[in-house]
Amino acid sequence: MQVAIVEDDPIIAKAVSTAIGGAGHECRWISDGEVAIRDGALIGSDLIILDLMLPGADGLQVLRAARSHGVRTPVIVLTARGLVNEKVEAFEAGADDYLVKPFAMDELLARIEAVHRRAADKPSLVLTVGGLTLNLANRRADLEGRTVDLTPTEFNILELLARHHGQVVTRKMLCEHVWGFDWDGPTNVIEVHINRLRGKIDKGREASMIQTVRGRGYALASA
Amino acid sequence: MPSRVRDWLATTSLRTRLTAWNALVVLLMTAATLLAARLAARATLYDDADAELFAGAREVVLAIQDLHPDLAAVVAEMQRKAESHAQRGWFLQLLTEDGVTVWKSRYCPDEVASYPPSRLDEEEVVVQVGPYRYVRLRMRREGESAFLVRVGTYTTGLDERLTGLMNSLLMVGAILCVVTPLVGYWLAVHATRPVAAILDAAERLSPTRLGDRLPLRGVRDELDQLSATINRLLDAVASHVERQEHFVADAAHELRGPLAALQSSLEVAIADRDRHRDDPERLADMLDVARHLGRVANDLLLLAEAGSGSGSVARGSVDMAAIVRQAAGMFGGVAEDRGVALSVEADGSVMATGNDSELRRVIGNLLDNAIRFTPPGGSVTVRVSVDAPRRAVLVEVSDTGRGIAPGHLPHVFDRFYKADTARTHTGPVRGGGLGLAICKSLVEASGGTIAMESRLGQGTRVFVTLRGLDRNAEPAPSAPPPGSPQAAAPRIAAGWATPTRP
Repeated sequence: MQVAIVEDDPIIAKAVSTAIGGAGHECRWISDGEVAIRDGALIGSDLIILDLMLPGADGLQVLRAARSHGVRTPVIVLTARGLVNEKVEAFEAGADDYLVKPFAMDELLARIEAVHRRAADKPSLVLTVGGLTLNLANRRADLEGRTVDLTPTEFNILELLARHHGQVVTRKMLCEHVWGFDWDGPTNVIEVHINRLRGKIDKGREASMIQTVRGRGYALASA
Repeated sequence: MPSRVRDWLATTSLRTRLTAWNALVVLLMTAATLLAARLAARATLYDDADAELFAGAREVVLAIQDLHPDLAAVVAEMQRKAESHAQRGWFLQLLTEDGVTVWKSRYCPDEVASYPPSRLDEEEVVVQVGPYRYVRLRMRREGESAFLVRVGTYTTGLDERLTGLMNSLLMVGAILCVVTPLVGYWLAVHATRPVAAILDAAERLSPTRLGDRLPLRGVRDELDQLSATINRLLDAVASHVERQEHFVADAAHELRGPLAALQSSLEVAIADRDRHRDDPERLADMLDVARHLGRVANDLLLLAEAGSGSGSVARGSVDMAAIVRQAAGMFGGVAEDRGVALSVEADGSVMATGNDSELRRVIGNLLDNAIRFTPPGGSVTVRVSVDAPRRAVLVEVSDTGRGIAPGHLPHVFDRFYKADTARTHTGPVRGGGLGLAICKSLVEASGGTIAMESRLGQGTRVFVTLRGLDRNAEPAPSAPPPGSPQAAAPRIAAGWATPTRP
């Protein structure tokens, strides 16, 4: 996948480029909003990561210009401000996703995959990871032919991990997926639910299916 | 021209304007008074003169009436009367209705003698001819008109008296017109002196000297009230600025610690890198610190946004019962792991005014605090109820934790106040001390109030009161009365197994 990042901060641009490169994609850096509009620099990319505060033209202008020229490439907007009306404005201008700085790199990568997949194909109603099958229609989880009894919260956690299997899913992403908002409080409420989930799906295993990635989040192992 | 006057009035000082208006009003009133006085004096003088003339004329008519038609006797009588009145400057004339003079006194002016009789249908008339004024009466004999009698005088004497009176009045008026503006200016200066003082003091005020106040004279007039009002505004501004300054200092302090940790870790990491050694543990630590910094920044931003009341956050109706059930779902497992019994009384839907994610944050913070500071074996209770008479929604979070010392209680909602140390907590604490301050800001942004009561060693209760909606007027499924079997067996972690996502 060819990803373009429009971002004036070289440190963030470099970090994002490196991370995207590490995930096996190509990444192009454009540091100026006006350049992004003028040279058709965005054409040919499969996905655009767009900072809102840019020299030349701001991110919203870039986004509107691109959309008005028929560019349908998925766009993930980055911002340091994170105000509610700014978010609404970004979506109205045609953004596909929205991420507030500072963000976890894993979350950006996961969102890149999600946005790309959403643009590419239809979502499946059945998720399969190794011996685990999640049926999203009747919300049933089967592990190696045997049904696992999960609470709705646990099912939601497992669903998000399965959607991003092989990748790291952050605490924030899990919170937003399960409860609709980011719980940033002192207590790690996700940890407790993950531990209960492990107790249900890891019976007779040596290593847990759900791995804790220190400082980053959790990942669902295929095996 | 009037516009130029208006321009001038608009640009001059208050005291000049007061003086100008005062002088103008006095001038107009003096002129009006003089005019009125002149008219009144003239009317009085002439009325008196007319009355005397009439009296004299009637006497003449009565005297000659009986002598008619003996013309010689009539003339002789007229002669006699004329002589007795001559010293008063009066003149007499006897004439027919056709205007033919029968007899006239020596001093009777020709202008009067030749003046034809007018208004003959009236018995008595007063006529002014040039400087002369006379009354004319009709003398009748056996019902028939015989002669007309005129008795008159010079009015120049009257006019001289009037002029003399007016001159003295004009003198007084002139003095008034000179003195009044001066007195008016003096009064205006005195009246506006406190305003000038306020202006002076206000000019000396500056954002860097917010301790200065306007002087009060203690007379409680409007100007003192103005000063007091401005002083109250200054008090409010000063305390606001002071709080902001403390807040910025506290925030900087709060950020400096983790930044220092990050900096030294990075320095060591770079030094180690030269020795080809990477320590993943240290990198993870640095990430933790960076995340902590991010959370502090988010908290600060949240406080700034909630405090500014900028209205960028949409506030509508939210279901507090649902929010509490969801929060209980989040924390149910945590409470169970810690051996704390979490019970929830929040049935049905209880609608309040506010922002959904803000109030979730508030309830989350309160539950988090309550569970963290309650030792194993204790209990935490969340209760949502409707106060129908006050149209309010009450959320109560109570715990059986360590409680807060009375000395700390008034400060628990202050920014950066370490409620943690106040609770004599010893476990790992994520710094900040912003949790309860954020709760307070968010609840108040929704138009609600938050209060806390606590007993050291017994527990803490936090009350959040929000504005309710009319829909709650119908009795919502209320909490069972204390002592009933249901209340005796609280549903532990009621939200634990309930669906949190449809």
